[in-house]
This record gives sequence, structure tokens and C-alpha cells, in this order.
Amino acid sequence: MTAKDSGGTKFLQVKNLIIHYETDNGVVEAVNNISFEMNRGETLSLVGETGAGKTTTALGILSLVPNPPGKVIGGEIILDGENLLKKNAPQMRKIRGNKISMIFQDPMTSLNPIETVGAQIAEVIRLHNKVSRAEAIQRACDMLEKVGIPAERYTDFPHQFSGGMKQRVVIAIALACSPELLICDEPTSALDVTIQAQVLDTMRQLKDEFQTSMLMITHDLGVVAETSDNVAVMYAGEIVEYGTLRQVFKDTRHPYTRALFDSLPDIGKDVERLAPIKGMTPDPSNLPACCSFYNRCSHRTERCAQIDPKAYDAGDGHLVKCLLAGGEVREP
Amino acid sequence: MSGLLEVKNLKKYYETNRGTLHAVDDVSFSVEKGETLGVVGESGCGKSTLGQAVIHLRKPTDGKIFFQGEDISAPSSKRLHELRRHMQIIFQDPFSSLNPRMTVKQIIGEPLRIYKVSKDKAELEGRVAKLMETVGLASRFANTYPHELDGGRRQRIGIARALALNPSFIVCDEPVSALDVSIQAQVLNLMQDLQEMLNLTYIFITHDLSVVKHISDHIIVMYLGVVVERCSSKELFDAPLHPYTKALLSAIPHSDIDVPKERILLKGELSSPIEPPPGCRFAKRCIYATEKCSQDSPEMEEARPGHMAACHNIRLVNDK
Amino acid sequence: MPKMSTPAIEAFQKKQKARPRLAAGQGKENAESVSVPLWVESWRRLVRRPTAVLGMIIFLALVSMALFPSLIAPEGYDNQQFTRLFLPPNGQNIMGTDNLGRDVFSRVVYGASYSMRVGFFAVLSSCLFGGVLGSIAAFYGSRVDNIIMRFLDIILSIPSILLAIAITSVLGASLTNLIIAISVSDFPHYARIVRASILGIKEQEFVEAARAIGASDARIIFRHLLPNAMAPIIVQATVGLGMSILSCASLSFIGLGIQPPLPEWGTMLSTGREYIREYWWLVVFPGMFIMLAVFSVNLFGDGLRDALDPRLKR
Repeated sequence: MTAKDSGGTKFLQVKNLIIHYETDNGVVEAVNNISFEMNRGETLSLVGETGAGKTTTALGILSLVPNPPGKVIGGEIILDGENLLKKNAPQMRKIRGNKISMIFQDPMTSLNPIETVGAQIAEVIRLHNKVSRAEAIQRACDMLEKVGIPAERYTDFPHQFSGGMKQRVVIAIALACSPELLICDEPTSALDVTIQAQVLDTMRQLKDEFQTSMLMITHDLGVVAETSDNVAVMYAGEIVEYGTLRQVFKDTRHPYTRALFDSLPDIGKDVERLAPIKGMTPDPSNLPACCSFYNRCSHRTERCAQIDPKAYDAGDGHLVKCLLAGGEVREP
Repeated sequence: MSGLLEVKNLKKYYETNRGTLHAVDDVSFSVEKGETLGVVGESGCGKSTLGQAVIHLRKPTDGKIFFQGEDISAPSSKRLHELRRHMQIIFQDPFSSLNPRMTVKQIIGEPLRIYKVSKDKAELEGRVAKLMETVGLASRFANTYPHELDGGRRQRIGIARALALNPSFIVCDEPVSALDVSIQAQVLNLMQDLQEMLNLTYIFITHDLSVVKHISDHIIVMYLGVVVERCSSKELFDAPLHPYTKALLSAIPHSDIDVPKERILLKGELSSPIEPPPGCRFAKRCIYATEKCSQDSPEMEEARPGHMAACHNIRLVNDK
Repeated sequence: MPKMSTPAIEAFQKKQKARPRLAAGQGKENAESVSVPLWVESWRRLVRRPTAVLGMIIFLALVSMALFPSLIAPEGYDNQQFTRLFLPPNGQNIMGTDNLGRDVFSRVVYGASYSMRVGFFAVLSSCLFGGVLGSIAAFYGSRVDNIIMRFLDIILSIPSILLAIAITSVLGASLTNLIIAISVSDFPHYARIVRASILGIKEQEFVEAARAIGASDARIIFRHLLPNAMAPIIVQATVGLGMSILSCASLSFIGLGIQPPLPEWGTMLSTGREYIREYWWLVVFPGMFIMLAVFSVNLFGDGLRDALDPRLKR
């Protein structure tokens, strides 16, 4: 499967999505004209640093961008042939938790502390399905078992679970209605590595079992490598590189993606000094008119300061938003 | 061995409603001058408590601490005040570790004011300016408040504050965990440069194994308050001995998609550090655990030259 | 002890300069280069709230009345003229005259200075006393906390007006005693608020950081904890100001506060009470001013609470 493989209609298509936050200190351009697509059962990772617009994109898909100050300025989000941006609030409520689910970063705060975990899972099931209480409880117990928690713990409260267990409960809630799309916002960032490995393993198994499509939001390139089919690298609200896992990780084209790999301390290599990316991400309320990575780029040319590059196809649907890839400039 | 810092059988217990919490249990190590000791472990293993106990931010329950040969296990409050000049700490969270009501200049200048290092205001300002330059903070930020700056710059403020009194020893408690990767690399490089130039000694506490590998000379691996393995950084990553370390190393998600993965998936989760049962703390999650493991706790033994590990079945684990 | 010698620093800085990658802030620094102090930001948020601005304007008008009564009032507060007893509001005396032929408007204006003074000093002293006690209780915790808080609970269990009555009747009725009485019954509220907010702040890492650089307890409390607990204190103080003005009026009304002929609003109400059937203006105007004062301060306090809460920043 490659990004260009567009036989038939895609399960999820995001086209030219633009989301802004209108704040007291000016307009924050959080998501600027991004497009991507997903097939059923596929995992796409949105990678980027803080403030790159990953979470805003996810909230946009769920119509959960806080308004005010957030506002979807334009674009289309087409899920299964239907434009989600055209739906009204009650229709979206039906879709959320049923067709699309979301897992948030912090398992500590996304559970209700005064309700048993079982009741919280059963609640989602009853909300979206016409089932009896008993059946909901039965299905909640099944879900707990599926994520690796004994069903006896149905009546336990969140504070009786460890961080990793809580995240499993969150996953159980998210998958309770067998959603077709699961959005995971840094699902394992708050967890320790050994626990992360366990949770990622569980998620992989469940994904295969339920044939769920996953939109994975993370800053951890290691997690991306382990979970994804396709990758979109975000920088300053734009997708700067987009392609299959192999294209992006092995045939890295965009200077930002390359720099990101170089700045990671790698456990497999011995390096004396790391190669950080100089400078900082640009202020999203005052983005440059040219390439947004221009200030930090080590391959920049005069031409880069003049135009905002479009996304070039570097072969087989591997999209790179850089003049280098378009062959318009050469590496200095 | 007589390093800059020597810790012997350090213990830190807390009394809780459910019993005694063994946050740090019988930990010994030493750090040579100019060296970095990495302390690795997962959340709740007591690594932060260890760092804070060493510099007396938390009062140790038991054990000995020697700093430059001097016993500082129970210093008088006057001596402690004096010691603070030489032992400093950099905190994990660049957001909550800086007072939001103080400007950058005030924060960095505070230790200088407390110890009355400078004669007058002009000298103080001069020192603060120099410190800001040393950590790569532009002078125009002197009058800004921390909340106006990004995480990387904020962490530089924390570093400058720790350096203000010319300490010889700094505990770094997860200093880069809250930062983005590209910023993380900037700060790590800065810390290495500073160490080289000012001959600093670090204890570097982190849960991130790739970071600790990069920066440390020696590493201790902690699990539930005890040290399970201690050796040089290179040795730990080339030939880990303890089953926990092996699992930990294998669990790191790798960004190279062509490297085959052999993952040791641990079962279960961290058990409680409150009134821990006798025996090896890791026994419940260990695939090699035998009956002996749940009865006596293993001692640290030199399994290879300079490579200590605490495991009863060290031969069995490593002779596959 | 190794000292970081000046040559070492300079050599280091040279090295830093030689490495352009470490030069912080390569890109455009827009929002950051204009630094705005916290209070300026809060002020900007405050003036965007119309109700808060309204409250502030009324309050400032009352304060200027209190500060410069002789400039505003047409006559002195004790200018008795027996040729104009009980005149209803008219062109000359816009709020009429009272039983001794004094101009009610002038007396209301002079009255502001008493009410405001009592309110201000009562709030100030209970803030200071309550703030120090509350922060000590929160900072040291355990037994100290227990002793202080139980002591405050005892005071809080006595109805505050009863306590104030008891104190003024023991000490005698005077301006100072009135302030003492109101402060004693009020300061436990401040202590509780300060304690609660400091308990939250105490857990933050910068307090630990201050300890690590050798800061004394006093320095931690006054330099690090209290400034961060200011927002709730200021808000409580504005609300408390209204309450104190009200208590002052109540005590004066029952004869335990400011004594006639001094024109405190409560005292005026109390003397005007006898004539309320025929001469309504003797009570309506002082009463209205008490209400205005409390109302404006509450509006202002509400706005201030929102303005000082950084979470409401967009």
C-alpha cells in the first residue's frame, strides 16, 4: 500500500483543511491547508513537535476545536463519502464515540475519578447502541478482557489502576463501539517504556482484530516506526513530507525530517555530539510568507526566501514540500 | 575508590497510611570528578528521590554521603547552606520550576543575592548577563517572564540558575524530558559543553535510555528503589546482564525500520514500593524467576570486571 | 573549591560564539521581544469588561469623595441652619436637609471618608494578619497548621457581627476600635484563602528550586509563595472591602461605631430612622451610597478575579 494507491474511494480524506485560532494577540494559524487520506485498516502517523498543529487537526476531524477561539476556515473532511464539516452538532455527537473514537495523551485525567471503570465503558456502549443494561455490562467485561484487564476489576475505580492500566481502560472505552476510525493523541507518551511496549502491542492486536483505521499523533519517531503504514510530518501547521513509512524513514527528502532524525540521540549509534536543529519553530501567529522552515534550514537558498514551495511528488506518491524535491534548486 | 561523591547504603523511607514506602533502598555508588553518572529507571523507581536525597533536598533516612571526602550525611543547617553552593540541581519541568512572578534576571540573580556574592547591583547585573550568555540566552530576555519563553529557553534559565554559584556537582533531574526533540539536542549539547569547560560532575536522572547513553560515563539502573545493575555506559548497552535491563533496552521503540526487533515483553506492572515483600523486587515480572528469587534479595555482585548486577540467576540468564 | 575562573568563562563564551547553532533565537522573534509585565496584561483584560469598568468608575468617584470632601461638598458636615429644617431635595440642597438643618449631600460626601477609611484599614489589617497566619500554617503544615486553623475555626464559629459588637462594647466606640473589631471578625477568611492557595503553590517545583539555592523559609514565603497567592487575596480584599463598609454602617447604626455628629453613613441612617415616615431623604441617600459602595466594589472584584486568572487568557 502506498500513499498514491487510490483505487476506489478512500475511507478518510482530509482536503485543504485550514484551522485558525483567533486570540487577543492575533490570529494563530494552527493548521494551514493540509491534505491527507487513509484507507480502511490503515495507520497514518502525524509526526511533529509541539505546536505543529497535530492535535488541532485531530480535534478538527472530531469537530471538537474549541470555538471560540478556534475556527475551521476551510477545507473538507470526508469520512466514508460524507463531509463531516457539513454535519450539525447532534449528528456529530452520534459519530463521535461510535464511528470515530479518540484516545487522549493523559490517562490520568481522561477517566472520571468517581465512577467505576466498568460503568464508564458500559456508558459508552449504552450511549451508542440499543442494548440492555445487562448486555452492556457483559460487553464492557469483554472489552476489559480484550485489553488485558481481568473482568473482575469491572467495579474498580480509576485510582486503583496504574498508569498503563488506566490507558488500557481508555483504549477499551475508545474501542467499545468498534469505531471505524481511532484517533490516538500521544497514547503512550505518559507511560514508561516497558509499559509502552505492552500497550502498543495490545493496540496492534486490537487494530488487527477490529480492522480499525488509526490516526496516530506522536512526536516519537520510534513509535511511528513501530505502528504506522503511512507517515505525515507536520511543521508549523503544514504537512512537509508525506508518504509510506519506508519512503519517509528510508528515503527522507525534506530537510526538516532529516534534521529531526539527526537530532535524536540514537541508541544504536555512538555519537559525540548531537546535531540539533538551530533556532525555534516560527510563531504560528506570524508565519513567514516563504517556506516556514527557511530560518532553520541548512539547505536554504535565496529562492527559498521568495516563495512558499508546493508539495512535489518525489516518486510513488511521496510528497515533499520543498524546492529541493521539485528540482528547482540544488543542494548547496 | 574515592570519587567526588560517594554514597553508601543510602535509604529514604516515607511513612504512609498503608505502611512504609521504600523509595530508595540501600543504594551505593560513587561519582568521579568531571564524570556523568546516569540513573535510569521507570517512574516510581525512586530515581528522583535518590537525586534529591543526595543533595539533602530530602532528608535521607539512613546511609552515608561523602562529598570530597567529607562526611555530609547529617550536616548542620549552617554547613548545609554552605554546601548548597557546591551542589546544585536542574529540574525536569521548565514550567513549574521557575517562579512565574519573577523575571529571568531575578531568577538567575536570586542565588547570587542569597549568598551575597556581589558587592553592588552593577556587579550582580554583570554576573547575571554573563551567566545568560554562558547558557545561550540573548540579553533581551533579561526582563521577560518565564511564561513568555518556550521550553528550551526556560530550561536554559534553570541551568543558569544552577550555575550561578559555581557549583562543582549538579543533579540533573530529567532536564530534557519535557522538551521537543530538536530542542532536547540543543540543551544536551549545552550541558556537555558546560561540563567540559567548567569541569562539572553530573548525576543525570532520566527514563530515556537513548539520552542517558549519549551523556553518561557510568550508569546505574534502578528498579523499585534498588539498584539492579551498575557499569560503564558502553558496557550496559553492549552487554546488559540483568533481565530487567534487557527488557528495558528491548522495549525502546526504534526509529530504524530495518533493524529486526527482538522484544522481551514484560508481564504485569510495577508492584508497590510500600512494605515490599522479601526477595528480588523484580521477581514478579521476571521470566527467569525461581523460588529463591522470591525469598532472598540478591546482592550486587561483580559479574564481569567493573560490571555489577543484582540477580541470583545471572549465569542462567546470560548463558543462552 | 574550584572557582569558575574568568578566563574559563571567556574561553567558553568564545566557543559558544564559534558555534552558530547555539546562538539562541535565530528566527524571527515577534511576540517574545515585546515583554509585557503580568500586571499590565491583567489590566488589559480588566478594562475589557464593561461591568468591571463601571464598578471601578463608581468606586473611584467614592474614593475621590473620601479623599477631597471639602472640594466636593458645598458645605461643612456640621453646618447647622435652623431656618431650613427638613427641606426636601431642591436646587440648593440636592439631597435636602436634615433635622438640624444640615445639608444631607455634604454629610454624605464627608461620610464617605469615614466609611472608606474603616473599610480600607480593616481590609488591610485583616489581609496582613490573615495572610501571614495562613501562609505560616500552609508552609509548615502538620501541627502548626492544626493549631492555627483550629484557632481560626473558633473565631469563625462566632457570628461576626456579634463578635464585632462584643469587641466595640468592651473597647468603646471609636474609629480605631471599629477597625479592630471588623478586622478581628474578618481575618480568618483571609487566612483560609491564603492557606488554600499556598498549599497548591507549595507543591510546585520552583519552591523546591528556591530551597536548592539556599533560600531561607522567610524568603520562600515572602518572595515565592505570597506573590503567587496574590490573585485570590486581592479578590477577597475587594469583596471584603464592601463587607467592611457594610459592617461599619451596621455597627454605627446600632450606636457602636462612629458617633454623631460625625456623618458616617450608618450613623446617618440611624438618626434618620426616627423621621423616615415624613422625611424619606434622610435615610434613602445614605442608604443608597452604602449600596453603591458595596455594589461597585463587588463588580470591580468580580472583574478583577477574571482578569487575574491567567487561564482565562486567550
